[in-house]
Amino acid sequence: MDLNKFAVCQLVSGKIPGEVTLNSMEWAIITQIDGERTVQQIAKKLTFSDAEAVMIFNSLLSKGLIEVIAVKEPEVQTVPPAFFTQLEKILIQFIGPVAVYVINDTLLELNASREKFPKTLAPELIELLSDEISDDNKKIQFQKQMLELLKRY
Amino acid sequence: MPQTILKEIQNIDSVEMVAICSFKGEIGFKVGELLPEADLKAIAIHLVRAFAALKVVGKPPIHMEIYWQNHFLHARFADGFVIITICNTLEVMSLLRITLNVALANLLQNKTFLKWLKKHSADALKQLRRGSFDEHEINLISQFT
Repeated sequence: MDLNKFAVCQLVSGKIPGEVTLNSMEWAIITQIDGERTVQQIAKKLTFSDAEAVMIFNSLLSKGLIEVIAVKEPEVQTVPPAFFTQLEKILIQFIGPVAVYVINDTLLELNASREKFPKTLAPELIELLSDEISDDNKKIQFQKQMLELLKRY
Repeated sequence: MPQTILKEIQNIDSVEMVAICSFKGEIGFKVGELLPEADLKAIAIHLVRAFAALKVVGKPPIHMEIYWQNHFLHARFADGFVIITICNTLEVMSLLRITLNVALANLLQNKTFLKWLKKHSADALKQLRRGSFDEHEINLISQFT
């Protein structure tokens, strides 16, 4: 199994590695490994970035101290179709009927689709759509309405 | 109340502290207790000096994001003040920027806040005139120029 941020690791048992030296970050990670939490969850607990944590886990793996026992891919939460219906209605008020095409183009840019659009990407979509509104006051009004919409979904 | 507006920002996942600081480095309003006031003031002054330096070269930033001591520090600059937010993950940055834009618009309609701003408003360039940059500031600024 590959070691990525969704991997779950445990300490290697039944095998005594040769003498190893651990730095403080590796030691911090070792103390958190419990065979249940993912690399990402441990990174969050220790306030490491995901990339940092993966690097440290890889180092521990290469020293023969830990092994990957599972990979827990998270279930992606998506926004319902009604979100896009509302989004279109709101954006049309600010930039006119071209809003529909702008949304489609922006989705392409994000490499995403309306059918399976992750909730976590919604703020980024709103930011990109905001850039299409030239008037600063209108831009804020749009963002205000979209924040309300995000709270609903 | 400005605190109510700041709490909206603090409600975002992983946000630990939000503060409004003047360009003199004075803390006007804050929610969260992650840092002592002296540290927050020092951070505010660093940020204002970085902002002022970029303003001098004609590139005044609106948002500035910095990785600092295992935290992500976000600064939203406005006329005469800066909103400093400290959070634990980069994943909320888009939502944070949008929320800060809206919060800023709300603050500029809040009488308590406007009264404070009128009293503490200052030119960011004044911070530049106080001494020269230290090596950390030069390093920081070089990332944005």
